[in-house]
Amino acid sequence: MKKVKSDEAVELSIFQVAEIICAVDITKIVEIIKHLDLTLVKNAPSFVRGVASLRGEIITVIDVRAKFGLEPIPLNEDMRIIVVNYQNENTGLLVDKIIDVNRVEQNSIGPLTSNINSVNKDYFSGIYTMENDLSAILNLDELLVFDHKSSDNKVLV
Amino acid sequence: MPIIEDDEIIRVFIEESHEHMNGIEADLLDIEKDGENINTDLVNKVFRAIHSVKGGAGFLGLENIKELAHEMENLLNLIRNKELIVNSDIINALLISTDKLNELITNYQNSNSIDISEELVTLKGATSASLPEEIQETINTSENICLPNGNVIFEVNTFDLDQAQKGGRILYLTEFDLIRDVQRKDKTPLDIIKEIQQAGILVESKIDIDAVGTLYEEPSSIIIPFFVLFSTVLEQDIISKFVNVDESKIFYFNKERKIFALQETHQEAENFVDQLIHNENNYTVEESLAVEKEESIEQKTTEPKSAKNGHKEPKKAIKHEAKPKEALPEGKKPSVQNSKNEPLAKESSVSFTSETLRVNVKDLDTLMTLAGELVLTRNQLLQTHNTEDKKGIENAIQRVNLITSELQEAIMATRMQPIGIVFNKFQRIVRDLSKKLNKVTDLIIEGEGVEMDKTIIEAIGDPLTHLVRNAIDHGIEEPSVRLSHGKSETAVLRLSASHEAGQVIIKIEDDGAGIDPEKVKAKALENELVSKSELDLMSHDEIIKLIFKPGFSLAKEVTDISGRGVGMDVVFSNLSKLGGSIDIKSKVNSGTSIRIKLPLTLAIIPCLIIKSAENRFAIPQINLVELVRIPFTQVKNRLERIDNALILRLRGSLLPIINLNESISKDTQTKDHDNKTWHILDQIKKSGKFNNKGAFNIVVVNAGSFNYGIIVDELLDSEEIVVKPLGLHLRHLHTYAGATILGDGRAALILDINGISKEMKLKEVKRDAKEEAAIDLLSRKDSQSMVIVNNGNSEQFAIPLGLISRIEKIHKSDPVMTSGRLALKYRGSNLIVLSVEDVANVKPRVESENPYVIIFEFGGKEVGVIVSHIIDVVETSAEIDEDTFRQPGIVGSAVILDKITLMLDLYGLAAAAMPERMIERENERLQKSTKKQNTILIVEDSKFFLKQISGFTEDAGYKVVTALNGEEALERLHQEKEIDLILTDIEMPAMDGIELTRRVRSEERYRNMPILALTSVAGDEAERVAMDAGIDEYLIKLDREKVLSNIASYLENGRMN
Repeated sequence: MKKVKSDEAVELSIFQVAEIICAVDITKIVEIIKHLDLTLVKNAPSFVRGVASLRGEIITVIDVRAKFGLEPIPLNEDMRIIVVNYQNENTGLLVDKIIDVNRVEQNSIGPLTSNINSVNKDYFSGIYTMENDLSAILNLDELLVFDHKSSDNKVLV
Repeated sequence: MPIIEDDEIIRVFIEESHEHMNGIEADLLDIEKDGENINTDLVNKVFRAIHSVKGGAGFLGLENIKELAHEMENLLNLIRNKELIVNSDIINALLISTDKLNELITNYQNSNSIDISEELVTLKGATSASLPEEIQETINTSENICLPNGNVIFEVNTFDLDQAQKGGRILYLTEFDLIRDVQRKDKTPLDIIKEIQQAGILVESKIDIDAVGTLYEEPSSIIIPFFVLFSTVLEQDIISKFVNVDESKIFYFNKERKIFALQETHQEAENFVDQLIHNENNYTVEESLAVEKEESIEQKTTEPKSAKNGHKEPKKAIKHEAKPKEALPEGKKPSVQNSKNEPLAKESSVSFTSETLRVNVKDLDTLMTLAGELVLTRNQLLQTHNTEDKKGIENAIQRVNLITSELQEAIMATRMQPIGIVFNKFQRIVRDLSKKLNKVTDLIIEGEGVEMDKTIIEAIGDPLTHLVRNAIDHGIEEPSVRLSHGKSETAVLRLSASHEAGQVIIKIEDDGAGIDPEKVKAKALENELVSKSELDLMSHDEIIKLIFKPGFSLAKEVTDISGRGVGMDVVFSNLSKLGGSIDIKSKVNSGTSIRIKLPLTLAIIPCLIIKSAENRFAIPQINLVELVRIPFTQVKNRLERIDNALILRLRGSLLPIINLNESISKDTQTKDHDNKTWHILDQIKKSGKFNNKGAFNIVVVNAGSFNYGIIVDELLDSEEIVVKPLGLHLRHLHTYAGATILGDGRAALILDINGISKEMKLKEVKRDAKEEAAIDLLSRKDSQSMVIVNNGNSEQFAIPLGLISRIEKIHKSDPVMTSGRLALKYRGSNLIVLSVEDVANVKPRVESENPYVIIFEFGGKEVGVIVSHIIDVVETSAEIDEDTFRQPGIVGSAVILDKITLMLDLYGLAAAAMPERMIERENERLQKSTKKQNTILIVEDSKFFLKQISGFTEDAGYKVVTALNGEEALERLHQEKEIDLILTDIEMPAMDGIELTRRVRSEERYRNMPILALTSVAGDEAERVAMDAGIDEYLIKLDREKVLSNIASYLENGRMN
């Protein structure tokens, strides 16, 4: 397989979370699965949708909607879990819909614009301009970083 | 010197070094004990270990490791040659150095920047102190080792060279070619070093990158020289065969350390086989090395200079070494980064100890065989699946089932490690601590061969260290104090491990001061851990257990050893995390005994699966106490709502109850469900009735020091589950111990019973005094919990709950007839299942869809009795008629639940049904009795109870003598001279247990006879009276396990005061 040089082009998986079109570099994705049977975890941070078993491993599924500060919605047929590897652990991201996989020239990725107001800007690392839409590239490190002490505080407040 | 960056080589070296270092500590301690009469083998063993570490390290450029190991080796060598007599200072120096060496090996990437000057000075001090003046000087001088052409290869300490050449050893310098002699022969330089170490002493080694291609003019090929300086007793003529290198690359040295080429010697030697002129040969050798002579003279002139500076040199070296340390306060990182071995430091330091494991080849072979079988079975499964052969699939599934369990066992076996790994570390800790605190302690280690899962072995180190430290710091008194208490100066600290019912028991026992309950009380009050009224209600054991509460420390002052108030509760929670439990017993002035119960493995644990609000959870079996079902009709009397807490009445005690939905969720969604419980409860309370035919299922669990109940919606199954860790977003939750994957592929969470109780701030519920008195009064009569069962017909049976190990619900098709006996596959083995009608003349059992098997222990094995229905568990104090319905297997009758109920005699039943087991038992007893069989006198007025109690005590291997009241007991005691322990009821006609005890105690010779009271009540007042009379323990009558464990402990240890 020919390797794509990172400074020339990347392949992005494009998906939708509520009204926001997001993208993740496919090299960071372990796999994409149809939503599994999720087991609720009470007492967990509000953005944790549950845990699921993925081939003998327990993965935590993060509701990206909740992470963006939106209301979670019930599971439906379009929803997918994007499994990414974060800090040597597989973690699932629950998204509303997978749209496409695009091969993208590096120069079509621009800096963040100010039109994403509702969501913490740290969660994105750039904007990719598609034919007729914009897609925000997720910064997984920021999205998944977790310090239970600070999150506990948030829950209490 | 170049640093080899081959990860594999370093990894192997580090692994092996860890192995070498293992056990050195214990060996050093033994060497210390031996003192003057040194055990040369032992010293040699340590020497060799250190030597191997040194060899590899030097080659890999791990300078500090090499240097430290080298100094240790020098000191050990002197001990070995009896030039030095060990004393505790020398051993101290070696121990400190061992620690440092371990640290260096573990952090090998940064080892060159770790300060070792202190250890070096101590070692050098110890070494030189014992040496004559002139040799002392050689320690600090060094010589150059050069090739005949004058190239300096090594700079080596004179002392080392002298040592290497001792005992007729010849010093060789060999030049290996890294490509031809090493790589092409499929070796690593480390292999070469190891080979050499097997036959001699390695002095130095290095790979000379600078010299590549310059030494010998052979332009066609590149040579990477790898120089090794070593000494061996092997003579010149065979050395080349040994090192497997061309003779031209081997040189040797004479006593004056002149270098000679081996090849030339040999060529000449061949010549004089022809010529037979010996002298000429010698001459030629001399001549050929004329150039070298000059060199060595030059060398000698430089020597005195360095010798003069000799004594100052070490200090200088220290200053230099200490520099990076001075810079440290700014932060450790910069100094590490600035150090010259940056390339190696880039990887975060990882200890290899836990990442690799030695596995017995036999275990691996088993795994391989099983894997093979699994593959075959898969093929079979696929094949039969295609042909839709139902029978075949069934067979295949059965095989998969079998192979899976075997595979699981085999894999577990590879992970098992002896607990000695942990125990042996304590030799050192106990020695150091005792020394520091001026105490004399003898550490006895037992059962170090007991094996446990690697993860547990690794995790119990800290809690155990804490307990051992506590024992020495608080428990064991100073020798003078001990003498004044009439004890020997030397205290005994016993660490032991043993297997018990699929678990491992670790005991830490000392014969020290014990824990003073009064002090605990005072401290607990001071720290407001309990209230005064609560304290008054507590038993002696309960008070002692207060030390496990957070924020409790008894140390008068905070020492660096213990006493910071973060002690025992941390131990407690750490052990809980491992699924273990801890129990403590202590008597003032006679000692403390701590008992830790741990599972064999953490990876796979038996669990009860329950359902609560559509979610399934697993509760580890180890936490499980019992399951209680409370029909809504009984709720009024059994469940109580106090403030906002739910309380369950269970056999006279009060348990806090939580609702799973409420306890582990903070969000509002599930409040509805919770309200339902309250709602039902409120309605029942109000109307006194509840139409719904439901019931509350309550799982009673143990959270260490107390029990609590969990209301669940449904009890599903008992399963062996595989524990999986939770992800990083969930790891902080105390309420879960992990997750598992159930049969249907869905994840379920494992409840952390201790964590939940902490999160919910649950605590023991105490009865108020009035209620206590009422219960006390009520249960004055012999009240017992009985399981009421029937066989689908009019006859009703009762079995004492205390004798039952477990009750299993099975399917009617589960038990199969094998060799004329009903048996059940159960937990991987066969369980014999008996029916009541096999023995007793009762109506035959009417089969039900899901019969129950009541499992109990008989003759050391589990046996089951099958019954069709379980009706209830009742608390009964009904009069037992011991005559009317008496027959084999039936011990009497009583009216329970308005019906005549036959009392089943489980032991009688089993004995009559399985006479062969009786013979086995007898044989076992005979075998045991070759030692000494303990005799127990059981005093009990109810024949029913007498039969049950003597049943299980005999079953446990004791000889039993019985009496029906106190008077008779005294007679028996005087007749049978060899009674070791008395078990007595309290309430008896003619003479009660209290009076009996007083009488027994009044006789001098029975002062130390352990007397245990068996009663149905645990009233505090009654207990006090009994204790005052001289009863040692107050036990519940048919609590088989507790009674037996107490008998064993009293027989072993005697009365505690």
